Amino acid sequence: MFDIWSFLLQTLTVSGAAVLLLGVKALFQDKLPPKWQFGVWSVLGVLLLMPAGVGGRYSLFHWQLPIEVLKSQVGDYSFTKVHFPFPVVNKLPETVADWLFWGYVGGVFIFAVWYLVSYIKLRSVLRMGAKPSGERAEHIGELAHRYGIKVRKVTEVPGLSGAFVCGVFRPVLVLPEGEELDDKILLHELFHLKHKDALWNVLICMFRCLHWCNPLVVYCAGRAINDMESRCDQYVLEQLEGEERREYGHILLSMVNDRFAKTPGSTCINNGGNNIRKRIEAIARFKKYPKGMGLVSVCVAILLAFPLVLGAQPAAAHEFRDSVRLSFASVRSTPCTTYAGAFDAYGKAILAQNRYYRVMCATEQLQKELFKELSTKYKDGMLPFWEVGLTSQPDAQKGYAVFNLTKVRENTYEGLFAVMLIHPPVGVAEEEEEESSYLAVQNVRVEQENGRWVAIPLEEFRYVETENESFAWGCKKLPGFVYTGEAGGFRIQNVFQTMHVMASPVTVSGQPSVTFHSRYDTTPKPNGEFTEVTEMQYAYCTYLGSEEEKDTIRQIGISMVPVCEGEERPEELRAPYRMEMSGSFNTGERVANRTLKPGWGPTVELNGGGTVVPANMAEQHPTYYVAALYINNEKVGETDLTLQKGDGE
Amino acid sequence: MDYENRYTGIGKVAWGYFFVFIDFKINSVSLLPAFVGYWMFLSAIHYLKEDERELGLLKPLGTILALWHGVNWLLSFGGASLSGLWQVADILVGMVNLYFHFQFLTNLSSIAKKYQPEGYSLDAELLRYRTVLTVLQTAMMVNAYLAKWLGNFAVLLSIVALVVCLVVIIALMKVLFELRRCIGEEEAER
Repeated sequence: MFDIWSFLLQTLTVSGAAVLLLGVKALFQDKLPPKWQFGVWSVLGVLLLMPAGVGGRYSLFHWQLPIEVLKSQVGDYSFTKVHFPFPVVNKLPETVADWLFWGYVGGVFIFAVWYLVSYIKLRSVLRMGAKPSGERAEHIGELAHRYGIKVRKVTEVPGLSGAFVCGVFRPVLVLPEGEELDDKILLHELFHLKHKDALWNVLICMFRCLHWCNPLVVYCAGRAINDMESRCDQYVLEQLEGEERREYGHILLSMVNDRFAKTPGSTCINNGGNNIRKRIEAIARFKKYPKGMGLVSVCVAILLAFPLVLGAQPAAAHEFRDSVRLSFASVRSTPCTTYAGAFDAYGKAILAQNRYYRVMCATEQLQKELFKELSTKYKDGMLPFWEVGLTSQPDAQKGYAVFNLTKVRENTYEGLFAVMLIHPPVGVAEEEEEESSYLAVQNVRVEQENGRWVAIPLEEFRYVETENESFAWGCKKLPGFVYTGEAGGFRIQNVFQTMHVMASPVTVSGQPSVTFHSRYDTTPKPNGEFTEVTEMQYAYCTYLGSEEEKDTIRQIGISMVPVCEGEERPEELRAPYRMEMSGSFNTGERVANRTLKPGWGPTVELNGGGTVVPANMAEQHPTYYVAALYINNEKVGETDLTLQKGDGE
Repeated sequence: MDYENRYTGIGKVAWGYFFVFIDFKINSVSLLPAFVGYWMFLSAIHYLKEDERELGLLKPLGTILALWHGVNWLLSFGGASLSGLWQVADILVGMVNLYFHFQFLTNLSSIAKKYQPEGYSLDAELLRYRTVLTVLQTAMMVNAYLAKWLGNFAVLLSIVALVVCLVVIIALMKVLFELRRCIGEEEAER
């Protein structure tokens, strides 16, 4: 936690879970054993140790939203992120928020020092102690042996009012010198030793110290210590019979008005009057739990822990029609957690011409600029229309596609982003309008910034005329990865083009909508993944020889197979068909044969085709192709087609 | 009278499990709504609480579950559901559901121990099915949370868990009807 905002996010996340935990404990108070009542606090312990908002996830409530609202009120546009669950000061205070953080850190420091001093004081008192007499030591040893508890060290200290355990690594059982102690009290402390409760006590004190200004966490820390005592009470009561149980309750009652110390790394049977009263109530409910109760206790705790610890990701940002500020905070607090999510937010921002969607995948610097624009130009209630810089409206129902997506380095991807336009862009002749469609394309980079994915356009939009009416099978007019080689007097080129899309059908109650006019959902999916990739290939042969020889060529055939990294080069290629026909095989091999008319060339397009594969199966691009060329149905050469650097980018 | 209560109560529990765990749907509307099963459990608790006093403690939890499933069933006519609407409610209902069946079957096992004829081990069988059911329910819920990471494996796990659950419920109903028959025969002998 580097600032007050990350502390707020952490402590509010824990608070939400604490409220649920208290509710669950109240529900199961008389149903599940004290061991569970204490053990279930470990769920809160895990949340306290886990940075809130990891991977854009939230626990129960999306606390990031109110925090981002508050932040934007004070002009801070950075994305709130918790790096560690403890505070780290890395700069001198400049703003009010910085001063508040320093105040909080100061409080942590004071509490830590106070705990440390009280622990040192306690250890110095223990130094005055001595080993108990032979008879007493023997009795304690016998009692510990009976319950299988290992006691390392016992000491008697004068002037103490009760027994306790002190120390985490070398725990000491401390007894008041010259005072007779009931075996039940000794047993209670021995159970603390057995379950290493001094260690739990240190952890609880640490959490109390880190969240000293959150009364809910402080209250839960007290409850956890009380539950730890109740658990030991239960262990003791399970060893006792009828009247002895009543006596144990009386002993506890007699301590109600005694003084007690809250020192980290120690446990004491007396934890204050109010707490003792609650423990007496628990003792009144005492029963021996049936066999198998451990199983259901663990299962119930698992059901609580999984949703709290794993959390959920905000599926979509909410737009608050009546508040620009709230909408802005909402989109900022819904980070794109995947690179595909960032492309999707960018794509939907273009398609819906929605400024809020652009904020979701914008860099912090751009967010700042967009917010200034929003707060000055737009009033509450206005639509956040975004002039994306196109001279014609994008066709939202046809969606968008990302061509030739490439991982350029760790956490950085680039691809050619494309949308179809409803009308030709301004300046295109009227006669071309009916036969052609137009695409607006732009190279876009997506990278990680402060834990979220952001989209950065690398150029202005360009317009491309195409015969395609949709993104169903790629687009020949757009570039691809070009693999080149020479054989039999021809230059062979194979263009490999990928097209990533994310399925976005409109759903109604979880079912795809069948309404004709609402096929494509333009709401961004910040956690989405590309669903499928269309892999298209186009082969071209360009004649490099003399005109005399050219006239003898009546048929040209090709056979090629892709070779990916780690794969072996095929020894033999499949021969193409002897007639004008092309085909492809599930091994990746492609063959084609084409009859040439007089005056052909010099470039001949041989075959084109593609496949649609699930996105998770299309990660690897071919390293090279092996191609064999056939002239007049005779093989004339074989070559490797290697990637031409610079293409497809 | 005690015999009649016991006989009716155990029968209601058996049919209750049929309604709670087995379902057929038309669109999203259940033909065997779970709330009917919980309502039968509540009625069974009324009949059996004299034999096993702890059963009475389950009444509030049973009522919560009956209401939850009842409202869900009504909402299903409009294509809506309470599940997934508020995560806190989902978590609480999941936990209550798990504990309810565990404790309910534990108490039924105590009743079986008292009234089963010599040589029968219906109580032990009930405890066995209780344990399997508890583990299965937990595994299915954990599987649902981890589905995003497990991918197709999560679907496979769900199918396996559903098949095992179906087998366990049929076996559980068989044991409960067997217990009811034993109670009937014992009364006839008297």
